[in-house]
Amino acid sequence: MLEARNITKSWQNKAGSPNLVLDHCNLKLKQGQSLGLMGTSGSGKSTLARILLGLASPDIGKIFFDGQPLNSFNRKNWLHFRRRVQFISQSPECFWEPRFTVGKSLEEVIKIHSLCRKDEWTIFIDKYLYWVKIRRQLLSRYPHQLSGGELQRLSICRSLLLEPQILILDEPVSMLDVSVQAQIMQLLRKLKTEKDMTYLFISHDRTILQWFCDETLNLRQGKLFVSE
Amino acid sequence: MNMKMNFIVKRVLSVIPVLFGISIITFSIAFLAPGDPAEMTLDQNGIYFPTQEQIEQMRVTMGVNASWHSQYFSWIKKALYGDLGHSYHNKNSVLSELRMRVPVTLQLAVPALLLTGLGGIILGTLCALDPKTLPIRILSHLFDIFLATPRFLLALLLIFVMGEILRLLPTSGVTDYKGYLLPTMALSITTIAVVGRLVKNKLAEEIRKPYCFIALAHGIQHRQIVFLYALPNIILPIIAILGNFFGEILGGSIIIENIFALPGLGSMAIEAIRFRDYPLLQGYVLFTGCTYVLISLVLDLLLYLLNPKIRFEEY
Repeated sequence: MLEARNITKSWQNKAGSPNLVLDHCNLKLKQGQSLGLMGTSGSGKSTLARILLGLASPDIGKIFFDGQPLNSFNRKNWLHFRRRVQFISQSPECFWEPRFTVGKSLEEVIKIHSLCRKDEWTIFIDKYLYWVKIRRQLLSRYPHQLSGGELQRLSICRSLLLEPQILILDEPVSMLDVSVQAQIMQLLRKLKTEKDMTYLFISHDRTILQWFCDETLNLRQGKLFVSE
Repeated sequence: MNMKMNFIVKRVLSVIPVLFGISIITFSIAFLAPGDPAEMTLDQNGIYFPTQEQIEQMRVTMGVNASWHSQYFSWIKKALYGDLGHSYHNKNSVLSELRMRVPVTLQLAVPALLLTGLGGIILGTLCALDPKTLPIRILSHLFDIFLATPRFLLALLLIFVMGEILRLLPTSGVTDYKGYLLPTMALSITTIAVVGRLVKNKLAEEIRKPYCFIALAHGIQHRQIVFLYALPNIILPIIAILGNFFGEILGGSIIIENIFALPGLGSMAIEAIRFRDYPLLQGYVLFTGCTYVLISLVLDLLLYLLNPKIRFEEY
């Protein structure tokens, strides 16, 4: 489904010299798989996620989606890719437009991809709110008026609206309380079994990855290793 | 009372002590100024060597022999009814002088504000949309050049090019709208560069924020993110800058009005200082002070309405 081949990326450090973050990394996400990606802070996990999403370009290497390289995509391909591959972040409050109510942000996604007619928006959103156990009343609130757990559920709901095949989860529970962490993890697990979703779960927490993923890769000094 | 009304009432009430402070400072200008106002008035009336009796009589007539606070309350009472006294120099009432000068300054300030706002926001946004192209790089350098150019130099250059070489526009006076074009340009160009650069930098910063990143991941186009997400979020500091700029020009752009011989508030202030015309100077300070306070009030209310984070804080 989603494959990274030979990905190399370096950033310039403050002194101006290149700092190699990813060194010829290869990764393959198969349908229905939960792949874990582990690494210390600053090891390049989020950079790899951005490259997989096509929001940063690698210095060397290519990303393939259903066998087609991302750099050959036209606008239609990109829209299809954006629907199929979604991203959930670690600090949900930063990932919502601060001027919009969360309801409006959800509607924006429906509008961009013309997911349904305008008079069906409410029913369409309600279907996914039920999945993430969020009351409709919360949709009239602004992001800063909601808790981290509520926002993370809504972030998942926003991604689910697009019916994605792949979710890239960048430390989705690291900023949440332990009780909320458990609820979100249960929700992600339920989604996986009932919707046959594919996950790339990025975390530095080995226990969560062992519990959640079929296989875990370890990112060390820019290289990917299969974790034991 | 709901939160919105609560905020508006509190903000409006907070203006009262500031206006009170302005009135005290304005009144003190004449009170603390050197020279006896009675003698100065007699001098303006052609009595160059008044007797002590004449001076005393004039002091009683003018009410300047009373204590500071009774003089202040009498002055403020008259000021509230629009009586700001008469100019020592030309004998006109200060209010009629303000009525004559303010429209000239407004005709300069409003177009300058519009030009600055539109020009700065459009050019700054263009820079953020495609920062690496050659025309945009040149524009960025032009911002730096105009930022470093003093307004009087810009005004002289404009007179030289548009008035002397090309002979397109008049270089002084305000017989028709053309008379305002060069001063408006001289006032706006530097500020367009300030606003343009601020918009460019703020947009570049905003586009890197996570909510713009996630919007890209949801398939929203870069251009749409700039216009619909990032730009509205950076508009608050831009509005604040434009408001201050408007207040600054409304106070009279002294140099520009002098260079282009415009009979606006700036020229009035210079004349008032030159002739030690304290009532006129008081009128100027009172007008500009109150204008600043009102602009700042309008800005605060506008920012409150535009920013949900402020709107939902407790007041």
